Amino acid sequence: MATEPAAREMDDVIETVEATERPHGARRVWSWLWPKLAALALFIAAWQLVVWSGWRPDYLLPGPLPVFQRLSEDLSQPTFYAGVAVTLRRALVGYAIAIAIGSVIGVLVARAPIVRKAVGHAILGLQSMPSIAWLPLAILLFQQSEGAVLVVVILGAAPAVATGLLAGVDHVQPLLVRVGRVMGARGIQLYRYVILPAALPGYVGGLKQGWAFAWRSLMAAEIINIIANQPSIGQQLQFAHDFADAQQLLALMIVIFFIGVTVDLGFGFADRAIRRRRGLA
Amino acid sequence: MRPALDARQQADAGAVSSRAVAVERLTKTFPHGDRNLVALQDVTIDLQAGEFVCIVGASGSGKSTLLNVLAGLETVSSGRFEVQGRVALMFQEAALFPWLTASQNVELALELRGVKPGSERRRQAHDLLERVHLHGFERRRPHELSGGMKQRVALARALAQDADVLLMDEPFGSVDAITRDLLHEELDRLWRASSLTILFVTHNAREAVRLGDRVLVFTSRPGRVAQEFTIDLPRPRSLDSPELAVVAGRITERLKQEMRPDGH
Repeated sequence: MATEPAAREMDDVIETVEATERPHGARRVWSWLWPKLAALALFIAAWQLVVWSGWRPDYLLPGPLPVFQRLSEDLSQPTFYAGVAVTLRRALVGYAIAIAIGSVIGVLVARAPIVRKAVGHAILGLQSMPSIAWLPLAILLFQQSEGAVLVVVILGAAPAVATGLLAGVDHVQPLLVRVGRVMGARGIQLYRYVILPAALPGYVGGLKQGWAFAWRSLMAAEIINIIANQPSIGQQLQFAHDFADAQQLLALMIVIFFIGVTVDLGFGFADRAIRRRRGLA
Repeated sequence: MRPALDARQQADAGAVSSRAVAVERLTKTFPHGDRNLVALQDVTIDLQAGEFVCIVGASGSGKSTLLNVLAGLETVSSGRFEVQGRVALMFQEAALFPWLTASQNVELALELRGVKPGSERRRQAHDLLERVHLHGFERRRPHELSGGMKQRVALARALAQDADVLLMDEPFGSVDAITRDLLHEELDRLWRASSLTILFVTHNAREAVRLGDRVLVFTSRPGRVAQEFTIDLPRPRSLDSPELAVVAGRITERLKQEMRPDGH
């Protein structure tokens, strides 16, 4: 009796599935890639034109070709990788601590109205405060150590993580929470099974923004707070400036940009995957 | 939350009956600006175990509030209520968790009920989805299902709670007429095959007569039981039968009377 209508409804499903089907393989990669390559080509062309115009002498503003040559030389130097390793280690450690602190604060603010009243605005204020402003204090407290750098990274990223999680929790459909309660979930269970999964898209947004803040805070801190025997990217950048080595300066900037974009891409994919699973994209 | 449970425990202490749901002089007010809005006033309802009762009323008649109170989602202002056993509540929207598949939505209800291990939950979810004719759709996500199918999953999820009392808040209000007709058949079949007590809220008199042993007409602002109709048409009933239409017509007439501002 009910098999026939079930078949009718199945038609609906197949339609929706087909409508969301996307092109596959090389075509998809190419359609994703070519606008980026075109933008990159335009940028390099503009850079070359500025160099050719003679606006600044070659030793201050080298052209793309010598910079890329320098970059490929750097890429064969062990010291370069040592620098990248130091910087990435700081980024990951600082970011991980920021995620832990930001997540705890986010849940606390979301759960306890009194905490929200007390520090809700402070977190937003902290987020808009340039975290590098903490560096002088951090150096006083931790000397010129890695600790001072991490403080700046954590203070840069944690508020964004907390804000993202809070926004995610605040935007959970009340109906879903009611369903969870009717199903018998209380307290921690309600968070574990309903609220946190529902808040995931907002949380990932916060993580993404937190990463951006962590990365830029780290660069600022590394340039200012030079630590002996720690050849970080920021330090190499500062040294390139000190030795008026413009080629090295630009090569390093390309590396910094590349790392930032790569991580951002990762977040972009995660975000889209989550939204697609939920039928939001 | 807490006072509602207290009220239930109080009622439990002195109650001995075969009633699945007993509501006695229940009043619920909401603060609204500088005065109180009376959503429910002196509502008294009894449901025998295994009974199917429908409530019809215009929007704003406190029908949903009553179900929320019975499900423990709202507190009462005064009066008492008692629900025997476990309660499940279905909403107008399926309200499936969008990050879970159809099967996982049902499995979560089982998990929160303490069913172990995971393989047993998967087996039971499979059976429940089969009972609502969703065999083969276990791994679909909610956005890949039609409105009627989502409500079937929601029904399977409610059944997974192994409730004694199923509260339904206009559950078929947003599906098309044919799908609704089919869902009526399935609900009717599931109810007759079980010992479920169902309290079903709708604003559609025909739907109420199609499903209910009794139909309660609610007044608006404040919500009260205005009249009770006992439906003794044989089951299964057809939404298109003339006998059903006659009874539904009388109920609709009574509803209109309630909705006129002067009450006549």
